Amino acid sequence: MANDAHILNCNIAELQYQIASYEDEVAYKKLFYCVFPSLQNHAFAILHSRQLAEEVVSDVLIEVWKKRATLMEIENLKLYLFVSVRNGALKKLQQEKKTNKNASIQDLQIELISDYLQPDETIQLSETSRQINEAVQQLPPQCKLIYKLAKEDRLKYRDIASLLQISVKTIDNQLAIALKKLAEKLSLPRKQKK
Amino acid sequence: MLKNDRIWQLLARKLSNEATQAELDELSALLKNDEATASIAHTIEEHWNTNPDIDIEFLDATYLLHLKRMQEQGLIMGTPHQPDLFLEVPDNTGKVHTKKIKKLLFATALPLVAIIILLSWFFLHTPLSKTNQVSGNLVKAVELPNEIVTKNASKTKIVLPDGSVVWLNADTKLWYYKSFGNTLREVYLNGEAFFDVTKNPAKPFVIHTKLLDIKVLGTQFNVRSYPNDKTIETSLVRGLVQVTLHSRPDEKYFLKPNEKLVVLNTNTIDSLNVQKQVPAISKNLDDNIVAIKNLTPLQSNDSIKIETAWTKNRLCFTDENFEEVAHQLERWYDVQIVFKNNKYKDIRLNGSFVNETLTQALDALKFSTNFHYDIKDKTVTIY
Repeated sequence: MANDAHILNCNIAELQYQIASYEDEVAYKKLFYCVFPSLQNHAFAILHSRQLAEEVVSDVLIEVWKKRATLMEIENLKLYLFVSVRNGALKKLQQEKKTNKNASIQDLQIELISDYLQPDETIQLSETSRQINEAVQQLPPQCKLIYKLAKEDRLKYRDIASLLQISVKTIDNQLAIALKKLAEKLSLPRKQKK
Repeated sequence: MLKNDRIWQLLARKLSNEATQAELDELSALLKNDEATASIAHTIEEHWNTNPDIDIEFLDATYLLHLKRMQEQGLIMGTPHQPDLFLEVPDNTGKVHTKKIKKLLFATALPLVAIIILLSWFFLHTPLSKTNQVSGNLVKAVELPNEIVTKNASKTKIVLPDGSVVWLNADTKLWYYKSFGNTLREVYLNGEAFFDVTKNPAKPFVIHTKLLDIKVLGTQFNVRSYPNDKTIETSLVRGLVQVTLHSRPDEKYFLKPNEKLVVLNTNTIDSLNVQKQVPAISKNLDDNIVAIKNLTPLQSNDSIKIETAWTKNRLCFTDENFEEVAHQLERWYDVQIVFKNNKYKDIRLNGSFVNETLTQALDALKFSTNFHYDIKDKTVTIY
């Protein structure tokens, strides 16, 4: 049940169609559940505040309902949501800090697990998963962010490129680097258990 | 082995659904003779495809907060009859993220319009699906109807593939098949709906109900066909409709604007006292026709008619007996109404409600008669 709400398991284009055509409130709720964790996590990377991140995402999703009549004009709703959240978060950051300094990707603090994701506590994380998570945490910020957008949020290369305003080539390279680092970690001889 | 950067580039493309078939083949070939690397690649792939569960309780609470923020901006989700729905959301937003409160919030969640729309054809028609490789696999070979269902106390508006607009009243189901629009525009209805059909003389629009079929070319009309109601009504606002009863397939009834056709619902005929219920034109039960009548204006000179007032969010009835009114109230407010004293069932009632709560509506009806009522959970007892 819980996984129905996961961004992997929902067809955003279909929900978009239902909201636009039928003012379908159930589809809207579904969309909210599907995208909120990912978007909130993205906003948090910029704002470093759960409360503010939640507000930004909520505002973006309110706009979706407001413009439901013309929603089908948006070609790629998922990317649209990420870009809106990024813009909203950067704007909020300026308001909060009252500075003009633009946050860069280097400043972003990326977290792979958001409040809305609960690792199954009944199953102990395998040694392998623990190693991989550790390796991911050690990735450089941009590399980590790209890995997260590709893996957790299932964004396409060109969507990540538009969102981060970098080239598709960079995405291709960075993701290869990320996987190589994970592989290096996994190929190390296992540490003795304490 | 790890020095082969190409492997990781190809694996990354594969996991992100960006790899071409040639690239997938290349990756397989590269890993074929390198067991150690293949095993690591496999581990990474497995990890990539596992994701932690979503904390639904946390999301439920967040969604309620979101709805509250929408409400503050005048955007109200759900039925207009339950304006107090979110009062239980605490104002101190910081405190909401505690599990106990979340459970409580979940229990008060919206009686949302439950709309199940199986849009298998959608994948074939939307340009968006071309950009999404995953959705292509979801196209089902099995022909399932597209179904729109509303629960009690909810209404919805839909647009059919031909542009016709249909408003569904509470407790209604409308469905149609992929063949909609091929030669005929056919839909099936159980409940009450108002149709605004786009003009297309080449492809007649046909509504199938349990007892009768309605054929139109382009028009506005209302169909009320609930299984538990004593009559089935077809009311015409504009245009021309042709009605055929299943029991008399050779006869056609034509309605002119501002007329309605009232047909007995044979399911409930046992409990029916025809003379008392409706002024009958034909008392011959075989043909089921009770009357062709004019639509009733809400007030004199009013353009709003009783029959279609529900599309304007009004619950209206004139000179209807309490038993029939009770069915309407049940659907409108999502309650069960029980008569402890049968003598009240035949009381004739008039009423017009917009935003009234159930209690306000019952109090207003009580004003003209002398019944008592008692509301417990979702059951109203009349005594």
